[in-house]
Amino acid sequence: MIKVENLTKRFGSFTAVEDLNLHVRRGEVFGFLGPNGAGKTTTMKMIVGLMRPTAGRVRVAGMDVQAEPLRTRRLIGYIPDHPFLYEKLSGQEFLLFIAGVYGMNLNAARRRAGELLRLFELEKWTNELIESYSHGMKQRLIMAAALLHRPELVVVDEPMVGLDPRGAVLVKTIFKNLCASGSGTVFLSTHTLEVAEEMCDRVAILHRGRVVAQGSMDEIRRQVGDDGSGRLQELFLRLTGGADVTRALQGFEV
Amino acid sequence: MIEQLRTFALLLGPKARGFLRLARTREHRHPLRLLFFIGLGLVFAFGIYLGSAWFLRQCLQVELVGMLIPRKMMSLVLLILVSILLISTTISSFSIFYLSDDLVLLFSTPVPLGPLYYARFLEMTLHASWMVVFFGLPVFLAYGAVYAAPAAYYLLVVLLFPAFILIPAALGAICAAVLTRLLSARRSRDLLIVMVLAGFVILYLVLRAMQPEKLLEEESFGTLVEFLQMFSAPESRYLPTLWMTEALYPTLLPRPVSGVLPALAIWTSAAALVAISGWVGTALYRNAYARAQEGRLRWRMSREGGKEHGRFLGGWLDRLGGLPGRLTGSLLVKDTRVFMRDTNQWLQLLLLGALAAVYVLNFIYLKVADFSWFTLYTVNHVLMGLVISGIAVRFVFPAVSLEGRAFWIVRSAPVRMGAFLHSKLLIHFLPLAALAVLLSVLSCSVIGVPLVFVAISVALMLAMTLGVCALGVGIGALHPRFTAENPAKIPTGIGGVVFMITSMSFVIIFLLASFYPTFILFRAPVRPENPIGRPFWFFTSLGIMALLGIGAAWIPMVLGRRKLQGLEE
Repeated sequence: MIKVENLTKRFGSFTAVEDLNLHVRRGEVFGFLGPNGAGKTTTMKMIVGLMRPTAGRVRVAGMDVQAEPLRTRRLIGYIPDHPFLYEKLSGQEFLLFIAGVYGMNLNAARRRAGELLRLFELEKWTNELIESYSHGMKQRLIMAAALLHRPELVVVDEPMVGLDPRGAVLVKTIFKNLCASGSGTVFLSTHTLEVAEEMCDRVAILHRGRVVAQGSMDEIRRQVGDDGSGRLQELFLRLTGGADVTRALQGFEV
Repeated sequence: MIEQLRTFALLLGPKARGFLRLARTREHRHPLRLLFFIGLGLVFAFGIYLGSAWFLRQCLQVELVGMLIPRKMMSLVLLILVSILLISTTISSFSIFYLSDDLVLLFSTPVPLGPLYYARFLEMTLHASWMVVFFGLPVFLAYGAVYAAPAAYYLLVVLLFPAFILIPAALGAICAAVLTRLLSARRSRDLLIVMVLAGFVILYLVLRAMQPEKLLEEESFGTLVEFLQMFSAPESRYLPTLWMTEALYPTLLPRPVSGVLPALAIWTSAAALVAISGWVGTALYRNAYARAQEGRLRWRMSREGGKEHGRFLGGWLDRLGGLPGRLTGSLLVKDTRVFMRDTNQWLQLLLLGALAAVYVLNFIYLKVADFSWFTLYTVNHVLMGLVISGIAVRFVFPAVSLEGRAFWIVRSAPVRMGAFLHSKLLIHFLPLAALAVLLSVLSCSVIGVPLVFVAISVALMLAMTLGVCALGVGIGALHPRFTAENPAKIPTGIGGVVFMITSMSFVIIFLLASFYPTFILFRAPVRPENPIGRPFWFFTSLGIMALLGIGAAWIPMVLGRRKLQGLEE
């Protein structure tokens, strides 16, 4: 579904992403992990087409994102980490606006919006202005908007930020079902390693703009020479410089 | 006490540092822009100084009553200043005391309420009064210059003005605290803004109807003096404006009278009111802030029993969103809703209405003057063009920037940037074109223009409005300010200045090019043998107009599209 080939992004002299290669298969939940500043969000924005690569290319469903931006965007539902929305619209008005932008039929969009608002437990807030929503509610509304046009690929940057446990379970189930039904693929970045461990069929660990490990949990264990007992957190720290944390903590009193 | 003062200084620290680093922020980095605005401000202040000095000299030349007018004028100016200060400090109080984002952090820390209240009070007073002081002080400097005032006068101005400002500031803060405790900060502020703006519009219309330009004529001056002499500014002995006048004015006279008592009255009143405001404010602060939070959270759409009011309008707008060419429909619906739900935005429609009314009124007055209809007709086009440019800088130029941080939604959707910009152009062109046609038809009928020239005027205005709107949308896209918190601030950047210069130049050159063909048509009845004058000039003028129109409508849109396509967060 996604093929990233030799992807590089530089900001002046700073290299955010370097020679990245990824392959996300149709129907899988793919986790993108890495410490802060590893280049996850930059990569996701290049996949969606919000940023242009310095080198390399991204293909979605076989189409080059840079060459065919409109066709690829029709297939994608993007959920950013910061829920910036039109605060003066109500939840339903926002979804109908998105439907208009995607060229959906108004009646079909109204039905679908109603279903999604119910699914994300926002139906009581349908006619409230978004400015009165909590962070978690805004996050759920963006997810509803991303699913409105039935995308083949959902790109989610930090899906659990701001969600309460109930919301988190809801979102995890929706994404898993989306992939299990064969109708969608989910590409998500997260700091919550339990989420990745629980949800993802395969993961890639990014460190300083480079992929340091990629594959299923078992494949990653083999790559780092683990005997099979290590949890993702330990593997993650081993790959992304966890020893630095231990050093930093030495001699520090809370 | 020392601890409280230290906390007070600590709380002001971030604000002071933020202000001092203003020049370093991205929006203000351009030194030319900063110099331009400082220069413009100084020119205005100097204009006020010159105007006041001229007026005072004129007054002093009128025998008997002339001597009385400057004192009355000082009292009147002070009354106007204190009224403006009272309004601006009350409105600023809602924002600074109850709606600032940093209050969440501050209220969660063990900061005592007293220093927090007074730190906010100082910030609010400076924020709400600097402009009034900047444009009010030149009047008092003019008094000093005309009367060749001694140093004591200037010293008193410097000593008394801070106290004079503190009085309305304290009253404004008390008013905001009580209103926020009863209603909510946001609603109270919006209500106050509506009332003030409506009052301003009415006052503007009344003043315009009085034709103040006639007062500048030499022969009318005596009438003005009589008028002002009859006009009695409220001079209650409890008004600080009277104390200020009684403290300042006697020092200007040849035999100065001591103004110590009124000066003391001003300072003691200011101190007492600041103390009372602190007492009331701190007593209500925590609860009023909590109420403001509730107001923010429960800012519901008007609903009753789950049924939405205004469903008719909502449904009508929804249907527009489903029109063919859905992007334009969706953007139109979204932009209309966002506009109508933002009090700061839709309130400006009131001003626009007043502007249109005043514009047409002006032609009723000008018509009585000794001008040919063709002269008025030509001047009318220049003025209408400039008015459309002025409106466009406020409403069209920010069109792209108003997408704000939510612009990622459009960027990640299957939408061509060209189509997005054309939608924005159409959405803004339609209402502006309607206004342009209305102004054109009304002013032409007031001037008494033949029908064919009304049609030409409408065509010219439509072409010009399209060009101005395309320039606004295009240049707005070239200089987007997606992070601007206040929509009114969007046009104040370098992009706004570029747009104003470009659109005004476009209007003037376009109308210059249109002059020859229009003049030839005007002359046609007396020269029927040569209906197009010199063919070369006639067709060259039409060619220039066509080129200008196409260039203005096309080039900025292409450049804007390229800029938006190349954007990277």
